[in-house]
Amino acid sequence: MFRKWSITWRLSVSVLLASGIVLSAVIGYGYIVARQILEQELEEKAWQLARATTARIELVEVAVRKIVGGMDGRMEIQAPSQQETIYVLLERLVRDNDEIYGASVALEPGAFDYSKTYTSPYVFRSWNQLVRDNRGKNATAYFVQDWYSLPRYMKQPVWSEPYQTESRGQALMVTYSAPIHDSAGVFRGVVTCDISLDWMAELLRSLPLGKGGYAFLLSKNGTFITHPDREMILKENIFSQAEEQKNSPLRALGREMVQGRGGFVPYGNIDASRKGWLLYRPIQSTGWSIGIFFPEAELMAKVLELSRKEGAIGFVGFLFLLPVILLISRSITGPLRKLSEATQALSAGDLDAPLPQIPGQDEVANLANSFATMRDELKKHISMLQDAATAKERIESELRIAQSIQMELVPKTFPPFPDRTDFELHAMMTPAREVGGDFYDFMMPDAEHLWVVIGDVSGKGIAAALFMAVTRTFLRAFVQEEKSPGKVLARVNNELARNNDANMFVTLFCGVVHLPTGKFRWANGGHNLPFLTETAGEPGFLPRTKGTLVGAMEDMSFDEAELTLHSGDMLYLYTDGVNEAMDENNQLFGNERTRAVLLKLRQCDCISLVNGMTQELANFTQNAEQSDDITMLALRYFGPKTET
Amino acid sequence: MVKNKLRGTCRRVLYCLLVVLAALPICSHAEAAPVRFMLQWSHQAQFAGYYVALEKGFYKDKGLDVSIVPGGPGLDAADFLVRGEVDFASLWLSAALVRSEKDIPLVNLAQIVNSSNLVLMTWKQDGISKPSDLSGKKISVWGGDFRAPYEAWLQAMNVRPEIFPQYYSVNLFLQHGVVACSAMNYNEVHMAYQTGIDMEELKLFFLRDDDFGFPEDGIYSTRDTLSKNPQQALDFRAATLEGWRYAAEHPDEALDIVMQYVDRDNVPTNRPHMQWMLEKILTSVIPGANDSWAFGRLSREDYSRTIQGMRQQGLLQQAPSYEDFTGGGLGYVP
Repeated sequence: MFRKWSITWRLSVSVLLASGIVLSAVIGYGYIVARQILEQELEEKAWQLARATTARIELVEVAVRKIVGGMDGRMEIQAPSQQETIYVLLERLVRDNDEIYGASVALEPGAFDYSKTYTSPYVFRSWNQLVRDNRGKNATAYFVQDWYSLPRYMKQPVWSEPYQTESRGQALMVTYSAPIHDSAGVFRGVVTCDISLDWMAELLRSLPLGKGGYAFLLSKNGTFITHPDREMILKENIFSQAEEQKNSPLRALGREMVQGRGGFVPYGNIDASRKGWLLYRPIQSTGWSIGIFFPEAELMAKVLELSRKEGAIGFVGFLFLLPVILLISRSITGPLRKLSEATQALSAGDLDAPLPQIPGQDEVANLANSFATMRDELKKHISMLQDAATAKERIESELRIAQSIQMELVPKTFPPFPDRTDFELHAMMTPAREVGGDFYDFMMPDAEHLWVVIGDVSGKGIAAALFMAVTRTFLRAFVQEEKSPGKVLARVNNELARNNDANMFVTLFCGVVHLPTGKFRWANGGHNLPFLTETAGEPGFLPRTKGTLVGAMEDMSFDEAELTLHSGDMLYLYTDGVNEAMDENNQLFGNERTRAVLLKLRQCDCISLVNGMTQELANFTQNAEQSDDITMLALRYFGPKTET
Repeated sequence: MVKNKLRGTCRRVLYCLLVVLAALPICSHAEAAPVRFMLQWSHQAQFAGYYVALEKGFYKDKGLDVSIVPGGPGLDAADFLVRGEVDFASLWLSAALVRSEKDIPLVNLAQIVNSSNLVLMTWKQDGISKPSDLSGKKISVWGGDFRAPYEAWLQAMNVRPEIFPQYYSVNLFLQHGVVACSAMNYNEVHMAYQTGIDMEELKLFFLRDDDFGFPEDGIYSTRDTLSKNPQQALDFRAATLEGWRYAAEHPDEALDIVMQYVDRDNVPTNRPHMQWMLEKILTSVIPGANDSWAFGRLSREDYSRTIQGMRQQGLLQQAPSYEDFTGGGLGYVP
């Protein structure tokens, strides 16, 4: 798929993809690192915030403790007669401490005054005024309250669980109460301070926790003392929440908190809908625990903003990068495309199609130059080829003409004399690709004489063919007039030698059989000696006679020889295309092989002999190209004509 | 002028009549008798059956217009009953017996909670695993009606701990001021759980396991009220039992109803706690397969066992007969 795309596309997509991956990696890494840094910062900030808040709460606690502690051990002087003193003390305490809503001294029933069983001077704020009251009035059994019984039995100051007052618009309160003992260590009652928690809620609300962040306080029992959701306060506690939500991690967190441990934990594990961090830390003095929740969204908003900006910059970068890539890839692929178009024209045969001019020294320019060079070389080569082909064409056509002349001139109708029974004759000529100028001929000027001729013209081509035609014409003419082969050759020689500017010549064997007697006379003009296969003997050359090449010089004489053919004797005339045929290793077929073939085929008729010899030659030469015309003529004499 | 004035007066009188007529209930059947019923504590799931009977109209079906009055700290339902300020009240059996002896005879119309929920809740971490471990340790126990069963149990177990008075909270226990405290299985035990204490951290002694649990909540009226209108008492009893049965069969709906009451009165509690309370109270109201007691009924055996236990603790000298106490079998017509 990818490979099918153009280079421009591949380059663009690859580069953009690669830079996209790099960019994403950078942004991703930045995100993680920034997140970690911010998380650390957050934790640090959270601890600071928690410490500061805790310190504020504990400050009040310390103040109250100091005041209340001051009363312990001094109760002997706070006799009932001095109840006024207690009120004054309490009024000062409340007036001087804004956080304190009310304060009381609750005496152990009957501790001082046995007539007043329940005595608890109480001072509280009401519309900017301090009001005195007795909490023990109407026989109210305050000693059953936690704020009284706990410090009493635990012998130590106690922070009560938070509670809601009936008065003051259901203000949220918590009471700090400390036991009072006399100098003998006998429990005499408790001092209490009611502290409004509204300021604490306000303090926690005012913490800079961003959108979605909030802080809450847990009492020792896990009850929400302050919580952004007012409905949660006092009614719900962290464990009831956990139970309702069937959320055991929340319960575990609650246990951590009420057991006075601190930590900074991802809150998403506890409540998947609230991703963020929760820091919790005990407020040692009160035994409470403060929890501060930081929403992830708030924190991550900055990181995400950063990542978004990085992404946007990256995108803009892409927009710049894209044309650059396109430009570069175009600068490569543009010339290539032009080159490709030009080569297509080139391959279609239009060598003159213009090649693109590519400036520069780069690879593409080099490629274009190579193309140009190649095109020029190709052009030159093709024109050379065309010249050669024209020349060859001319030669070939000449050869074809020559061949057709040559083939036209030799008789091809066999048997040539179908009504003759005293001899049989067969001849064959296979011209080589380049004409050798061989020919054979036979004629009967009268009923008693059969002339056979075989020749080989020197030279090649049309000239040779024409020379052969001329030779044959002369032969045919002189055979009519002369009875002697020697004389025929001499006259042909003279005719040919005269005006022979080309210095051409021909080897000629010429023989004549007197059919009634079987007397055979022949003359030879430099041609291969034919074989004679006598009925009773083996094949052998005809006796040699004196004679030169025909047509070379005028006034030459050609000796004649004579023998008598017997019935069944066979003459085998041939040209050097037979005995000088070469195989692939340039081995000659040779006279001996010729003779052996003749011996082997001695019983055959002339057609079979000629064909057999042709076959043997083909077997010998195999794939070697035929270098010369192969011409042969076989004549078998059957004896005097028996009829007539 | 005079005519006009007269006509105007007539018109005004007619108008007033119409208004009065319109204000009257349309159906005479709906002239339900107002009945005031008081709980021995503030609203919570402990009283689920009553709320259900009211909300599902079981009282109304009997022609009763019941209003449920919550009790609470300083609001003793027995006081209200004795003073005649309410017609019926939910009281502890032992409290009713003490009141019957001290003030005026009370009649048990129905015994709602037959199985005791009293528990001594202890810290395992303070080494408490058996009653004898409590010897010499500080524990806190409720006063009043609740004290007797614990005293009896401690005596029977032959342990002598130092006993602090326990009031409305278990904070003294939670802050390890004591190693054990009295608790209701349906309430304080779960409260402790809701302060982050796991059940495995606690060792609970159920008084009923040692036969020191006595029947608890029952419906009471004065003999006087009963004799004036016995049918109303029977109707109230029947509708209440129907309410409890319904609550047992539809705990989720019952819980929703409980939460309505709790929220309306702004009781500082929460749904899981009420759920726990409902589950536990129902098992002591509706008998299980192994329970020997009957639904809504005070058995003669439990009655005499309770009296015997109270006498031993010196809480009671005289006790009415079973028949007198239960209105001569009035409430228990099969």
